[in-house]
Amino acid sequence: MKSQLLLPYRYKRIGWIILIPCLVLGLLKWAIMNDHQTLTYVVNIYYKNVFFDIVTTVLVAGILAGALLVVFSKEKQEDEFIEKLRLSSFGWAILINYLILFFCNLLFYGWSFLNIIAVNMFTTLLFYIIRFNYLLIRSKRS
Amino acid sequence: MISTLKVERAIKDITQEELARIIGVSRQTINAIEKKKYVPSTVLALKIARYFEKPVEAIFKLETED
Repeated sequence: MKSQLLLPYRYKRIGWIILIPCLVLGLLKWAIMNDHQTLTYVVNIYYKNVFFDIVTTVLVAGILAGALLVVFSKEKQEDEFIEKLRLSSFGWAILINYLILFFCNLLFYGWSFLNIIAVNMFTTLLFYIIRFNYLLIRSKRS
Repeated sequence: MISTLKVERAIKDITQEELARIIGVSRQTINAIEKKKYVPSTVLALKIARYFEKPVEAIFKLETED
């Protein structure tokens, strides 16, 4: 049986190496210097020339690329049971993510809600990673 | 589903790890099948049965609630 859409196992390690520093730096930047923007002049095809915060762009790209590599690469021994764990973790992550978003929508407004949406860009992938690895470790132990 | 995999494994005196390697799955899969947490696909059930040289139904049987 072949599972599609998955990269070889070695990409998982590359994913972690990109994800962890970007996530830590991203959280630090978000918590400590939310308003300090490192404006950079960049030539962009769409906007012609524009000043924007390049650090944020790089960190977001790093978190997304890293998380995608971790999520979409095979385990060392990929088989049908792992595939089942994968699928159930996807379902779980999407459900939890949207439940949280649903209640945040009712409880927070304006800029705080925009902040939540910004974090929400990553949470589906992160919830998936947490849930999948939890299930994996639990099934390894028993 | 009732599974006698653990018993069959004990008769052949083979560990989960070894069986998993021979069949080409992870150890967790064998463990999950024995713990009744996972129902193997037909292909995997046939592979396990082939290894133990028995029909599938000698290892995996339906329960009344299935």
